[in-house]
Amino acid sequence: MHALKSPAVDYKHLKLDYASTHQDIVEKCKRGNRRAQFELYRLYSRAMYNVCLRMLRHEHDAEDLLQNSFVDVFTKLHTFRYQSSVGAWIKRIVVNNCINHLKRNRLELEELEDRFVADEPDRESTTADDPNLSVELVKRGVQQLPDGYRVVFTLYAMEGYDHKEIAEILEVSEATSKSQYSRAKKKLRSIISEMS
Amino acid sequence: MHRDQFEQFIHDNRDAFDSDVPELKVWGGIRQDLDRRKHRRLLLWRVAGIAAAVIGLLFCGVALGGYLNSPTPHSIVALEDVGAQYAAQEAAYQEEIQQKYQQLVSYEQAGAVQQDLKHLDATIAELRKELQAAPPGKAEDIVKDLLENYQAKVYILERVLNRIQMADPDFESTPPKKANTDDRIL
Repeated sequence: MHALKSPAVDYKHLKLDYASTHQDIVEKCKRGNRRAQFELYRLYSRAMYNVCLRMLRHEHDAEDLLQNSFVDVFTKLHTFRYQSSVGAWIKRIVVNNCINHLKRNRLELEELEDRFVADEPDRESTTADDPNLSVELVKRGVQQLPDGYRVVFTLYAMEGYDHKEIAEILEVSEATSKSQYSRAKKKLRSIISEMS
Repeated sequence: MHRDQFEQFIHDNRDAFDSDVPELKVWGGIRQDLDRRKHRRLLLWRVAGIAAAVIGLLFCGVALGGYLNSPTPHSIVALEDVGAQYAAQEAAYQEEIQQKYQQLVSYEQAGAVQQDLKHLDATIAELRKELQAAPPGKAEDIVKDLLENYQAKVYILERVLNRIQMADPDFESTPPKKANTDDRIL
């Protein structure tokens, strides 16, 4: 007789598919089906929570923002027309909410723009070897970056947005996004080397 | 896209960076918020529905009031507008018809004249309608036609009652069974 597999074992091999539209679930969610809403939440909550954590740093803020963002997702879902994957659509809502939260708490991107936009990227540091890198070190290092650096670094290196998209999200120039990313990476490297 | 070693490391270990899990209470909060919004939406629809109904009723009331109060200089609504004597005649005929009809409905023979009486009622209703829209000059002719129809009803009822009386010698002394007062006819 076959042993029953627990749902956790089944889900373990499921990778979050950002290319999937999850059309069936989305359509049920649009009709207010609570089970489908939970299913969509289950599929994306973990990834979105980690986006929030990287952007806001504090668990409590991240959970609050995750909750508000999913309420936004379900109340705005009727406007979703499959022009992108549902995962990318949800992530954009979460990211925008994070940026708004940080702006309310004085995220000073403009100041960073004035100070660093003329700086050239440090090309040497981008090619240096990082033999002691670990996920935990990078995570801790990212948490120590100043808000402006952290946001740009997270959006580019972790969430996969290009500089044009980041410029649009943050309402800054593409040059600012590029220079901030470069400086963030340099700063992160320095933090990590101090920690290790 | 060219990646340096640092970016490559993040790319290769991307899933490991999403290791934190939100607490279950987050879903509870989302569900509560959605329920509250749903409840508010339902309440809003209910209030909007009631408001629409009240506005509709007010509108109907105003429209009806306006209609009823509007002056109708060329329309005649009662026979007394044409002449007081006609109104008196109409009232007398109606009373007579009512009286005779109540006598008649207690007998089986009543069914035989129902068709004729209904035909006369339809004519009377039609004449009344014409009377309302008639210019004052024509109204008197219509009223006379109307009274003739009342007269015809009285005549029919009288004839039927006479026949019953001839067939039943105890007609006057035998009290007819209780007339159904709801079964009225003009």
